Amino acid sequence: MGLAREHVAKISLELQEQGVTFKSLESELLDHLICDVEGLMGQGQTFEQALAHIKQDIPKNHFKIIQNETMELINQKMKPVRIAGIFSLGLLILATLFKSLHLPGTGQLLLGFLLSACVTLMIGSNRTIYAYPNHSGKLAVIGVTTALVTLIAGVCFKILHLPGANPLLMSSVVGLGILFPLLAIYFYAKGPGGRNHMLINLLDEFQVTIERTALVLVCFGLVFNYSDLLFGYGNGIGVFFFIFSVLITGIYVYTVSWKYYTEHEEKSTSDLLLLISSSIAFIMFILPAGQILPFGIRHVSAYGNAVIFSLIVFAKYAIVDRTSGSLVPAAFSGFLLFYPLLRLGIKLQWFEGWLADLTTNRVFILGFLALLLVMLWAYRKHTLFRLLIILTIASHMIPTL
Amino acid sequence: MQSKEYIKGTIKTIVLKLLSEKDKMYGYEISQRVKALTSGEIELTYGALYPILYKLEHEGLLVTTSEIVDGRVRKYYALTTSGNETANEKVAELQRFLELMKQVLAPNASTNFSTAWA
Repeated sequence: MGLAREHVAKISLELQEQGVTFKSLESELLDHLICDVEGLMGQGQTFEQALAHIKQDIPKNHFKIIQNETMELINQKMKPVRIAGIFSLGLLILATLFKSLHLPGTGQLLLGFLLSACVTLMIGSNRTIYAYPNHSGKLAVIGVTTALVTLIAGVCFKILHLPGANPLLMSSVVGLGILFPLLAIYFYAKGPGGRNHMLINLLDEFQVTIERTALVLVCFGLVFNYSDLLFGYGNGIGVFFFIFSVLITGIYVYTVSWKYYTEHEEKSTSDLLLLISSSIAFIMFILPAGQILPFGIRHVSAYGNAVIFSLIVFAKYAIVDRTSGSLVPAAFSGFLLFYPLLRLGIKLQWFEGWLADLTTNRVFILGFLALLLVMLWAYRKHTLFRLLIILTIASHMIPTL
Repeated sequence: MQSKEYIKGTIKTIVLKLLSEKDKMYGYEISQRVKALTSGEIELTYGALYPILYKLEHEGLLVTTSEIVDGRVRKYYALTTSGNETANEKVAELQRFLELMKQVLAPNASTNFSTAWA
């Protein structure tokens, strides 16, 4: 007989507290620890005794050391991808700096970033196929890479006011809008059989990197947008960083559901509801990038997806994973349901007075940001809640979205 | 409990050998098998086992598959064709090494007093 759910959660928390963040290793160590605990419980020990017994034999930082050793091996193969990624980010920062200082060469730097980001994605796709020769999903990796490269190209063309931006954005929106929901249906139908897909391995390996990149972009955006508080002058260039952060987090959040389907043997009604609601939210998220929707519909789509996502997170913590630890994430995600609605109302001019100016009020922007950061830090171990907060931070920082 | 130094030097061969005897195994199963075969004398720690499994996988000697067992993900390891060949080579190498060690550690006939006089 398997361990009770709360016991599994306790062991999982132990691993997280020891700093194990690499998902593939975490699930493997979790399985090993559960087997060890079950073995000792089979000999008559209680769960607490068995866990204490096992912990006693594990030196301090042991799991962290294992993770570092394991990641070193993986990073060797993915090193070119990481170097190219850091180089791309560097070019984006330089381009923004040049633009804010009105120096010549911004366009070239942004084009350099575009090329470098595309090369990073292509190297990543190539390395993944090479690193997992026995896994399925080569075509899916190529398809996802192509759609993302087109999206980055479209966004950069738009920023640089180059011709061809809209067709590029439209093609990427169509590509992502069809490909991603199809992949979600595939993983939903496959269930645990989809665990050996290259995309799932990629998500396992790059989860931390993706989230950190999104947060780093927000930090740079803040520096650029609020530099006047420190240096006496500022500009709105930071919005580029927030846009990229929103795009990265929004797309990544949807892919988290793919992983979720592969971690469950039996499908429940809530899984089907998740598939439908998350796919609708994703299409609503990506559609505004196509630049063809009328003003009103575009904003309903942009804020509507945030409402659906908050609702999914709320349902997860309030209904599916109902534990004492999930009370605050449930309540706060319930509260965050209203924030996109408020912003939609402001955008569509439903309100007047101070409420109408709320999203451009610096005290509100920075105060709400501080609250979001506190929530992010306090509940950083709740994956879905953490992603909701990161997405809310990035979109919150674009008052004119 | 045997010296960690010896285990560290032979763990790759141990893992490859065990996997060559079964279609697929998972981490806990490998550690338990080693424990059973050595009557509890050799215990593979988490730190000794998992980095080597990932290393072998990234060298293309192992292939992984995942299954859901009792609601959690279980990762299985199996040998690839080159993994099988490497397993045979490594086991042969280790056996040869052990034979040599036996000769080195056995009482040496040539230094025996009576033999020397003879």
